[in-house]
Amino acid sequence: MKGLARLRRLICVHRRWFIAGLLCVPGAVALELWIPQLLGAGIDMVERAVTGDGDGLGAIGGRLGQLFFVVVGLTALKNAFRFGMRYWQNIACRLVEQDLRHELVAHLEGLSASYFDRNRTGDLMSRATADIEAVRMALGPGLMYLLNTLLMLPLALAYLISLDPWLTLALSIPLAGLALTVRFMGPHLHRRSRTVQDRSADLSARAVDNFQGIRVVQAFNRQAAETAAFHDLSKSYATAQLELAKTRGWLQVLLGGGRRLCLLAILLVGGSAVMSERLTIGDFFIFIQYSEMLFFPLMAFGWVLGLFQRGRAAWDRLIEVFGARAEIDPDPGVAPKRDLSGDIRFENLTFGYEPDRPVLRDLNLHIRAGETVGIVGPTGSGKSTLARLIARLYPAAPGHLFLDGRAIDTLPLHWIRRQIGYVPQETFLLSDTMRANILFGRPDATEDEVEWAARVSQIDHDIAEFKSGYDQMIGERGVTLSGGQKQRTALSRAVIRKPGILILDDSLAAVDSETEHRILDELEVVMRDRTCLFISHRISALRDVDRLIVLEEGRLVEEGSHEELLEAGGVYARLFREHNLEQEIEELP
Amino acid sequence: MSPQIEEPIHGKAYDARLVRRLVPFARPYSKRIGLSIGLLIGLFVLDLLIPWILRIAVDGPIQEARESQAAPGAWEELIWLAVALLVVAILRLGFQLAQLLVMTDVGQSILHDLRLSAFSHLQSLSLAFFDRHPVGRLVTRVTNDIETLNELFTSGVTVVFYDLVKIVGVVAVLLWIDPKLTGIALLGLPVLTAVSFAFRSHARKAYREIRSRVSRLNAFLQELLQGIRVIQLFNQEQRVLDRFDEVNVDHRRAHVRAHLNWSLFFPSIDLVSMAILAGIVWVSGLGIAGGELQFGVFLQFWIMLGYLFDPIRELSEKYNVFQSAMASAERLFGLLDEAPEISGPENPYRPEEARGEIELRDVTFGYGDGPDVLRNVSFHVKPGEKIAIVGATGAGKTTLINLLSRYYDVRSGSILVDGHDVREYDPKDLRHQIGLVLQEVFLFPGDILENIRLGDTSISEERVIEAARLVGADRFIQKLPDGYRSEVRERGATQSVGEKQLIAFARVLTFDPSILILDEATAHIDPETERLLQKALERTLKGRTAILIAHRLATIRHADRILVFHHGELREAGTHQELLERGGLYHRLHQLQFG
Repeated sequence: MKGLARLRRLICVHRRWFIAGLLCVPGAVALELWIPQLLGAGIDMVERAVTGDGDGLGAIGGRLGQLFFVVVGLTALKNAFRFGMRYWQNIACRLVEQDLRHELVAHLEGLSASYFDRNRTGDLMSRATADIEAVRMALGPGLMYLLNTLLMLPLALAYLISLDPWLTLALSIPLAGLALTVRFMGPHLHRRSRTVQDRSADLSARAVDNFQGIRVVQAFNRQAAETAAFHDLSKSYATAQLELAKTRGWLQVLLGGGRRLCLLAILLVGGSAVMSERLTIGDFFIFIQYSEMLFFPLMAFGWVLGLFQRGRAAWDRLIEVFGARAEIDPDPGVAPKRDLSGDIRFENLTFGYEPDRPVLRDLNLHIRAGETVGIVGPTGSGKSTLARLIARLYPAAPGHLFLDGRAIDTLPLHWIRRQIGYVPQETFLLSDTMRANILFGRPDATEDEVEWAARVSQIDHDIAEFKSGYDQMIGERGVTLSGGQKQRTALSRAVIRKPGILILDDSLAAVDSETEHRILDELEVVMRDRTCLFISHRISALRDVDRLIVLEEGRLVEEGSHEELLEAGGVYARLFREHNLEQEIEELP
Repeated sequence: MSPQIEEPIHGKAYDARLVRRLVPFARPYSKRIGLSIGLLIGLFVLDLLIPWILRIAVDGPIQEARESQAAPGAWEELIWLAVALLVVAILRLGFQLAQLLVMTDVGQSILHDLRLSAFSHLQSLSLAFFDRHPVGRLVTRVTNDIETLNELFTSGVTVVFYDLVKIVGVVAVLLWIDPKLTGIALLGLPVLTAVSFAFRSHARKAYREIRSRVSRLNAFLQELLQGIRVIQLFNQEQRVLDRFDEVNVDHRRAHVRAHLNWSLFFPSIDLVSMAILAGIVWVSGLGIAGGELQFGVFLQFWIMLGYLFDPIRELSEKYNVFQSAMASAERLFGLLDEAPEISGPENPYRPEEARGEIELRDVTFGYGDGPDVLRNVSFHVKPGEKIAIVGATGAGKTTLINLLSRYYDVRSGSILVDGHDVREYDPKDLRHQIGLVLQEVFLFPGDILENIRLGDTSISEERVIEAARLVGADRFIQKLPDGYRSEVRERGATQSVGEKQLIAFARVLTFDPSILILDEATAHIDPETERLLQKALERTLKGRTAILIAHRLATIRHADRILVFHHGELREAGTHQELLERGGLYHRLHQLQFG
């Protein structure tokens, strides 16, 4: 297992909890082993009284009373140790879990966009939750029970051997059988329960599909076919459950059988030892108690080994994430002293997400500071890619893209991002208040600036209608925003930064065309001396920009003003005509 | 699935009304349930025999041999007792395994039946029901809620017929063996029960808190990962991380608090149990020394007390299981009691030959208690006529489709298909006449072929391929790795909107309904697919009455007549040319285009 240094460091930070928890283990084990011996001695004392070798009845009564209080007292102490060991190890491993998750999230935040294209959210989620949990289980309960078993087993066996080696040998056979059973059936059980989970997921997925498509199901009278399909899935789920129960049943039955074999060994070997007076009745009793007591740590042993295996596999997966490096160097050079004035230059730029599939080809383009530029083109022509390169979400090859005359690959990432307001296609809002979402763009902005940004983005009237205004919670725990409201909120958080370059990547698609037009007009006023890049499927919304750029299959094919391009009668003119009617019909008042 | 708030669990652990409703589901398996109970009783008897054998051994041959080494037959007797113990152990093994298998099988069969009846009942419910209930919650009904009942059938039956019987039985046997010792034990048992219940109720609260913290943590993580790009673009890594830390720390604290409860629970139970056992040693020690009691009896007592601790400790847990099982049963039966709002009359009109004539007479409709979405709409569509419906979002276009297929019933007025009110039809017959191509084409899990013929195996593969070829879907299907047998992934995530619509057109041609309803996709479609779609539409329209909700001029051109809807009312109707000349809504729309 590599990369243990990180784990070792975290354990070291919280070592006092680990040490406290583990120190309790020997105390608990010692008392656990001692108490049955005391009880056994008590029984022997009684036997001696019966046979007349020992004290009389009166003295016995006092001694038995003493024994009672000693045993209860020691049991209380033992359980205090047991409590300490469980409680402190839990604190220890929960702290490591928490720190590990913190470090994982901090690491993820530093990775580039391409990493998140390759790794799905669900997968990363399971690393941050299930895998970290598995590591915690190995570190906490795993370590604790391992120590418990390692201490208890040899000590108990040593004591039993000192009493009667043959009986100990006879007893070890079923006990070893138990440990092996758990060891070998454990993985089997794990596999079976995975199957049950998978089948259950299939079942749920089918139900989700069906309920979401119930209209279609009913439209095509597919109810019987759907029920039949569900029947099959339900049946195979039930079968998986039955298989799991079978394995679990066998495990349970074998464990119970092992326990009874222990009793059999004690009866036969122990009984004859008592008969030939090699053992006392008290010893016989101690054997019965020890065999019950060893039962759990032995079972736990197989379980603990499973915990370590799973923990190890999970740790390997976590190391994979920690090992991923950001594709973009965040600090390649010093930040310019002046703010970005907004001059963008592409020189012979070719870029693709995969090596052999360029999305932008030989792009030459100069956008001057303060210019407002519209980018137009069919789906897949490279519009968004162009915008993403400027925001340096993806790395352009060195020396082909310049901001204010400096190669973008020599600028610090944080500086670039501070200077650019980028509103992506997909809106992501926090489940937080409206204000917090706008302030997300610039946490130190004043209340006036928040309201200003909301006004520019035309979301101010919507906010005024909310019950709590800017304090309105949105998302799961608050109001649900419409698509258009979400997009306008996302815009406001970019606007509030007053960036040197503002990029709208088709980010007003869910806003009606009239509002989009108003927003773009407003933006042109407030962003007068800043550079704006507008990408929109609604070509008509871009009519008033300084310059239009038309992309087709990654190449710049036309540029000029709306009028010029219409007159030219090329790609733009065609796109404009095609889209217009569609738009207008959709938005008929 | 999105996290959701479950309805509060009601408090009862036993509700006779609900149990009575569950009985019919268990009845088909009554023989096997009887067998299982028989096996449990056998198991109980065998469990009693084991300490008995030990007692006989200790008080019999072992003691005799100690008193006089020459006790005749003592060794032989010990071996016979060992054999008896072995036999009992093996029998017990078999009984236990058989019981487990029988009971699990019965439990799973009952659950399967319940799941199926819930699912097939849901198939018959109307859209209005699905509007009111989020999909996630319905899925919980057919999965989690039924799974909770599993506990009721498998461990629940065991607890009633075994743990309770065992507790009562063991106490009875103990009383019979030695009333005095039993008295000592009975002093301690209520304490044990009280401790166990006290901790469990605490545990339930703690678990609820943990669940809410875990779901908060997961929700935050998901939000963070999905929005990572935005976080980076706005340089908010540190701030988001700080907020994450709050959630992360809360999550840890909740776990530690809950664990405190657990850390205390087992030691407390152990202490009380040990006090009872040590008390037994004290009292029986006196008894043995006084000659009133035998060692073997003490040993039997000791082992049998152990039988009591586990069921008592688990009793409170089982109580919780019963509580949530009752809540689940309540929710499940609530679902099964839901009557379909839309159903056919007892003697439905059976159409002999479908012509495809549609008439709306003064139709007014609104969803639930909501405002009217359609007001006094009347129009008539002749068989074979093509109608385009135009209007802004919220004009009532989609609602019109819902009413024609009778997903909802009108508030007033009537809808006639081929001269008969849609309410006279069996909904199945009605829907058989109507082919739907919706904006968002729904693909079912399965392959492309099944998605076109929709599981109707009476339709030949050739006919499906022919239909796909006619609409031009054949080309992209052939390109798929397994052609028509290619599996549809995640509801068609790999198919484009245009491709999905082509599949929907192929469905219509395959089933050949007399009426076609098309709600055109509004998503951006590339010109080539657009051409394909128009061609497919032309093919599909042939010989059918059609209602087209059109978003493209190209589609409107197919229509004989255009109906313009505005705010739920039919405002204008006529051909493209007539409407332009009239100078109304449609005209303005047209003007805007060149303005």
